[in-house]
Amino acid sequence: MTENVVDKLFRIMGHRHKEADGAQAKTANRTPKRQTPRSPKPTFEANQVVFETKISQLIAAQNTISAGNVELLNLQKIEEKLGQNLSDHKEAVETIIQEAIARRLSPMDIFTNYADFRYVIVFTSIDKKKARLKTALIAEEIAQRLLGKTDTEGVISIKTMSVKEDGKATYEDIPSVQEMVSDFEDSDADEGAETLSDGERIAEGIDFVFQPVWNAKRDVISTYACVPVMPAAIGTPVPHDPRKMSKADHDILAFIDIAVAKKAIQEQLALLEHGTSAIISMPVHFETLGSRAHRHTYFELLKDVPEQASDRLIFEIHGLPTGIPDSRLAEIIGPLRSKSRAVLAGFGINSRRFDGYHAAGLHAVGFDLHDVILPERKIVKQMDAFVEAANRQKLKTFVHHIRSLSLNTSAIASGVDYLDGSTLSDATDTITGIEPLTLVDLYSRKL
Amino acid sequence: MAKILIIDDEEIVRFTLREILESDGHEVAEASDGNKGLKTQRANPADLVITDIIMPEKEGVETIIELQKEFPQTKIIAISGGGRMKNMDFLEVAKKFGAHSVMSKPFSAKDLLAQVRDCIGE
Repeated sequence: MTENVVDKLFRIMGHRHKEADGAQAKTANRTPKRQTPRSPKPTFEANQVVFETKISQLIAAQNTISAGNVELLNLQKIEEKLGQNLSDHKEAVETIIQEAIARRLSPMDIFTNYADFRYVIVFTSIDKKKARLKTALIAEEIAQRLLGKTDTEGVISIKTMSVKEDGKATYEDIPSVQEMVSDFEDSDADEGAETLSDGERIAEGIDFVFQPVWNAKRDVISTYACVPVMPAAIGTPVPHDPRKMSKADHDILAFIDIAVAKKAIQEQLALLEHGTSAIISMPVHFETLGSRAHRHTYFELLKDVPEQASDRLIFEIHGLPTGIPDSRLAEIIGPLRSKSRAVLAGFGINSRRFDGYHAAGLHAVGFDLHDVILPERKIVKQMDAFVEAANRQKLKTFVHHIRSLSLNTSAIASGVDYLDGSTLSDATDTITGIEPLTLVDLYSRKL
Repeated sequence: MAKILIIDDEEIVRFTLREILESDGHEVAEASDGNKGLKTQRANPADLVITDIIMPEKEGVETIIELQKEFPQTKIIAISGGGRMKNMDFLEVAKKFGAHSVMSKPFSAKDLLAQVRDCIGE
């Protein structure tokens, strides 16, 4: 069915072999201008392969296409309206369009320009109605930014494409963007947030903070952990750190991991643009890296990250099983290592067996105190034993969520290299760069 | 003779220090962490506090800072073995935040008593 759907998709769009020069499959939330250095402009064939692969994966994973969440956005009338002005500013105009699309998509959605000013968007985590509304809002934003008005009538057309079980595709025009926006607004009041699936809930509500990480042996905060949080406003009970969601559905974990990676990459590119030095670390679950489809999507995302940025990214693997064969370990860690400054792995506080991890490319191992309910005396003993076992294997160590000055002091005495938690520094929305932080600074706060 | 409070999470250390100090004629009280130490000091203030640094619940430097605020006349000796890494930076920090003298573990009874006498002005 996959091949059939992809063929249909391109056939319906009617531009499979003639107008796709410069077409480029993109994933959401990627700001095109920041994808530097650009690789040579891909050929249509190459792009088609990428796009088809992604669609195929989405179909296999989530039955996306048959759910009817493919929207075709035709902006050719805008091209006409801009007329002569366009030739000098075509790249800027395309950037505005792509930014408007990317901004409203979730990390698992994809879009591509299959011809000049014609885009196909594949939504994966929302229903047809919402997909159409999002596309309408995208259209409005594009019209507003390029033509100075939100009225898209006669300027932008949207078709919703559906592919049925037998592979046959149908599509329907949406006559008035405004009408659809107001229709949705009218009906939306009747639909509570409780109708959302877990994936949708996360897609709608995921947000990020950056937790400063202290390098205790260098007296400096130079790394910021990108932590996904779900605001309570969307119904999730409390702000939650999905680093602890090891038993959650794998697709959701993958969704979160990809969202985090996108945010971390975006943020690092922005830091580089502003000349701010800082390293960003991000969690990624073994479940994501262990699944062929999710791993492919994840590494596709990393593929275009310029070396300057990847040298300032750190991956922290969670859920790495014990006793994993060395070859499998290398298969998981190797590709991450090549796109980062370092790869870490998080374990339970009781873990002691770290054989082979250093050789496989791990820089550090550590644990999270967030859910550890033990007297501090016991935590300190466990911490000592953990660090000793790690150091024996030439591994550095980290501890998340240090919650008291006494634990902080004990961690330093144990030889922990990287620490974070409220005792050291609160999570922030904005990365400010490298900041010195000494033991004296920490105690001075108590004066 | 002086009233001395020992704060250390290791019972064997408290026991040893008590033996040395009592044999020299001092009155000794004990606590196993900074919180308990402060409580003991509030109930029955000592002339001198000997505190370890690396302790659970409330560690030594924080304890010294609070003792300094509440009992500015009380002399403090900070002691530490530096933990697994033998990190003696903590003693320098303790001195910076108000310890009158510092000693790295292990130390001799003679050295301890010399420091105690120096602190209480004998």
